[in-house]
Amino acid sequence: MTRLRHILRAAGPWLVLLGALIVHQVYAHPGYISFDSLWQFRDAQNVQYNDWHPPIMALIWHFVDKAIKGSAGMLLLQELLFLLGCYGLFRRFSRPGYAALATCLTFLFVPIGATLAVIWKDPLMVGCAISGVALLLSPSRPARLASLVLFTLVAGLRYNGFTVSTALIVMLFEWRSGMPPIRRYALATALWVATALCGQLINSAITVNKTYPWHGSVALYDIQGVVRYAPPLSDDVLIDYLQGTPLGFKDSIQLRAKRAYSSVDAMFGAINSGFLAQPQNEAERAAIKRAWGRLVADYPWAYLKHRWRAFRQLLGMEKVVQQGLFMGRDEYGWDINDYDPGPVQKWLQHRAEKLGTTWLFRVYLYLGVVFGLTALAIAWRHRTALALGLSAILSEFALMFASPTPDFRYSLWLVVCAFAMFWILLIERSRQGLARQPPVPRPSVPAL
Amino acid sequence: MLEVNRVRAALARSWQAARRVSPRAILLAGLTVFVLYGFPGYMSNDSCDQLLQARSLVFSDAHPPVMAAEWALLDAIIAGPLLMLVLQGAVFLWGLAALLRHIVGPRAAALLAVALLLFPPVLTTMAVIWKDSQMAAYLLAGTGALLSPRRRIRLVGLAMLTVACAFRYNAFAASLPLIGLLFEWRPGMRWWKRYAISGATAVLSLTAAIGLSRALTSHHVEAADGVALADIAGVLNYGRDRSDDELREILRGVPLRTTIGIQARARSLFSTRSAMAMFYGEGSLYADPLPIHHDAIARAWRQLVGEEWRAYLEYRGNGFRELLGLHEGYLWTPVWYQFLGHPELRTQVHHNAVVSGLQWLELIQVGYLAYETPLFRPYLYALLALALLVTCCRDRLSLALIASGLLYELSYFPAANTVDFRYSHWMITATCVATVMILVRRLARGRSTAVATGPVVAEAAV
Repeated sequence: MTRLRHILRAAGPWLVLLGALIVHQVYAHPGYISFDSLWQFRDAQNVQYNDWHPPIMALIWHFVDKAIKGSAGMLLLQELLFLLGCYGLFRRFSRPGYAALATCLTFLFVPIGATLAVIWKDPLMVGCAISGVALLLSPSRPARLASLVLFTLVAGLRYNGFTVSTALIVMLFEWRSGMPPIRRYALATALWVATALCGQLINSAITVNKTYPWHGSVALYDIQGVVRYAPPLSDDVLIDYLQGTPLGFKDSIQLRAKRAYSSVDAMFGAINSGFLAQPQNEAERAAIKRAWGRLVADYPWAYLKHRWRAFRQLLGMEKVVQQGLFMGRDEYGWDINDYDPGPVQKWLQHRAEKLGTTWLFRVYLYLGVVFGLTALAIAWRHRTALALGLSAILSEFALMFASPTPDFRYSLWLVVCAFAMFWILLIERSRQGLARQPPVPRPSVPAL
Repeated sequence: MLEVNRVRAALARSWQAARRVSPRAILLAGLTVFVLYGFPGYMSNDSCDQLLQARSLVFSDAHPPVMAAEWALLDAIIAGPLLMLVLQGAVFLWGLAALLRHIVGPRAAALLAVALLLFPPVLTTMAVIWKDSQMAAYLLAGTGALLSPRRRIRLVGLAMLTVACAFRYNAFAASLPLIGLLFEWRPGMRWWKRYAISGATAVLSLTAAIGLSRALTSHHVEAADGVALADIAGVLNYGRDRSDDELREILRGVPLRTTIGIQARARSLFSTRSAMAMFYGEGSLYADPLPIHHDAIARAWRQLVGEEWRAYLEYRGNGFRELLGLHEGYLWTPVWYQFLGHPELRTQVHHNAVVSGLQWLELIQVGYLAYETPLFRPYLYALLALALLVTCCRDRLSLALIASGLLYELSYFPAANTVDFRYSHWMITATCVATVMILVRRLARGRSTAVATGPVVAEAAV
C-alpha cells in the first residue's frame, strides 16, 4: 500500500488520468459510429434537427465539429466529461491519488469504457450526469448552479433522462447549507422539474422535422407484445383494435405476432417481420396511439408480461443476449474520418469483443450490486451514495416501460453508479475503520 | 464602490490562481492548442509516401527511412498521422522548455516554449507531418538534454541529435554546432580537450545516423542524382550556348527524354523556384533516374560544373535567394493546409480529414500573415541571426543555436531543388529561440544592475 502510495504521489493524479485517457484513445480513436450516430452527425452538419433522437446531441455535435471535424471531438468530449466528473466526485471523499486511481479503474472497466467509445447520446448523458453530481457536491454555489445546466442536458439527451436526475437533484442540491429540510427539498424538487422541462423545451425548440419516435418504435413493440401475450383473439377482434394502423397482415394476426415476437430484436422484430410498419402520416399515428391505449387498457396483464420479458432481456437474464459491445463504423462517408484501426487497436478490440459476451455485460448483476449498496448507504446514512443508488434504480426501472430495444448502453448509468457507490462506500468504510482504531500510544521519554 | 472592490478582489484571486498553474499544465494547454490547429495532422505527398512505407515496412532512402520506421511504430497504435503530430509537438515543447529552464524559471520557460511553438512561422511547419518538423523537435530536445548536469541525460541528448541527423541528409549542418559547442563529457575539462571530444562526437553522431539510415533501408535510391540533374539543367540555363552534339557527348548515359534541342528544352522548363518540371509532366527533360545512370550523371555533373562554375554559382545563388524570400513573389507553401497530397491517395492511405471551421479561421489568419506580411520571410531571420551573432551573442548556447540555424540554411545552397518554406524552418526556430534567450538574459541583467545601483544611490544621498 505504501509502495502504491509512493507511485501515485510521484505520478501525480493528473498524469494518471492522462494515462487512462491515452489508453482509451488508443482503443477508441477516432470514435465508433453506429447508424444512430451517423444520423445525428448528418443533422449536426445540415443543421436540420429531427427528433427521432433527442436533437440536443446534434446541436452539441454541430459546435464540437467546428473545432474538431468528425467524431474525434465528440469522443474527447465524452471522455473528458466522464473522467473529470468521476475524479471530481471521488475527490470529494478521498485524496487525489486514490481518486485518480478509482477514476481510472472505473473509466477503463470494459463495459463502461467500450460504451464510452461510441458516439451515442447515452455516454454523453452519463458524462454530463457524473460531472453534474461532482459539481452538486461543491461548496461553491456557482458550481452547484452549473450542475443544473448539466442536468438540463441530461434531461435533454435522453427522453427518459429526467429519471437519472430526479434523486440526484432532490437529495443533493442545496441552495444554502443549513436550510430547513422542507424548504430545501421543495426548492430542489422545483429545480428538478425546471431542468427536466428545460431539457425537453430545448429539444422542441430546435426540432425542425418531427418524427414521432414513440409511435414508430416503443408503441409498435408494445402492440406486438400485447397481442402476443393476450388470450386467444380472433382476426376480426384484432383488426378492430388495429383499425387504421399500418398492419402488414389481415389473417392469423396473433400467430404472426407470436412468431415474429423476439425480445432480442424487440421493435425491429415487429417492423422487419412486416407485422407493423412505421406510421407515415397523422392518421396512422393516431390509429397506433388509439390501438396501444385500447390494448393496454383491455389486456394490462399481457402488457406487463410483455414489458417484463423485454426488461428481462435488457437486464441480460435471458439465455440469448444481444451483444453488449459496439465498435467500428456502420457507414463511411459524411466527412467523417476514415476508420482504419492499427494492429494495437485491433488487438484491444478483439479482447473487448471476447469480454462482450461474458457475464460482465449482464446488467442484472449491476442491478443487484446497486440494490445491495443502496441498502448499505441507508444503513450508513450516506446521502451521496443513496442518491446515486436511487437514481440508478429509478432510471433502470423506467426502462421497463420505455425501452424499444435491449441495448446495453441504456443501462450504462446503472453500471457507472454501481462503481461510483462501491468506491465511495469503500472509502467511507476505510475512514470509519481508521476512526475506530485506538490512538497509537507515544513512546515515553525516559527521565533525564 | 463595494462592487468595484468585489471585482478587484475577484480579478486578484484569478491572477493568483493563474500564477499557481503548474508548468506542466501550461505545456499541456499549449500542446492542446497546437493539436487543435493541426488535427489530425496535415500531410503532403512526401508524408503519404512515408506513411505507405511505414505500413508496408519497405523503407527506401528517397526520404530518410528513420521517419518511416518511427511512423510504423506509431501507426500500429493509432492509424494515421495523429500520433506523429502529437509526438513532434510534445518533443518540441518539452525540449524547448527544458532548454529555456537554464535561463528562466519553470513557469516562464513553459510559457515561452508555448509562445514559440505557436509563433506562426514555426507553427505552420510543425503542424505538418514532415521530416523537417521531426528534425526540429529532436534538435531542440537533444539540445535541452545536452545541457543537463547528469552525463546520462547528456548522452540521451546526443542520441536525440543523432536521430535528428537521420531525419534529413543535411541535418549534420544543424547538429554540428550544437554538439561541437555544447557537449561536455565531463565539466571542467581543458578547452582543446573538450572541443576535440565534442568534434569527434559530432562526427561519430553523423556516422551513426548514416549507419541507422543504411540499416533501415531496404530499397536504395540515389537521392544525390536528383540534385545533380537539377544542377546540370541550371548550368545549361545560365551557361553558354551548346550544340546538341556537344551535349549528347557530355550527357551520354544520362536519362534524357529527348536528345534534340536539349539546351532549349532545359531553358524553357527552367525555374529558380523548382526543378520539378525537369522531372515530371509531359515534355520533361529527364526520365526517372535509375542506379545504372548514377556514374554517367556524376561524370556529366563534374564536367559541366567544372567548366562553367560561374553559371553553377549563378543558378545556385538565384535559387538560394528565392529560398530566403528575397523576391517580390509569394513564398513557396509557407502554410500547408491539406491532409493528403492528392485526393487519389485517400484509397491508398485509408485516410481522409477535412478542415474544421475553427481550423479554417486559423488558416485564414495565418495565411494572411504568410502572404501579406514579411513575417514569414526567411531572410529577416537570417539577418537577425547575423546581427545577434555580431553584436550581442555572448554565451555558448545562443551562439550554438544561431550557428546551427545559419549553417543549416547555408547547406541548402548546393542542395535544394525547390524553395520550400519548410527548409528554412530550423533557421527560423533557432533564431527565435536564441533571440528570446538573449533578450531574457539582457532583461535579467538589467534588473539585477538596477537592484545593485539602488541602495548605492540612496547611500550617496545620505
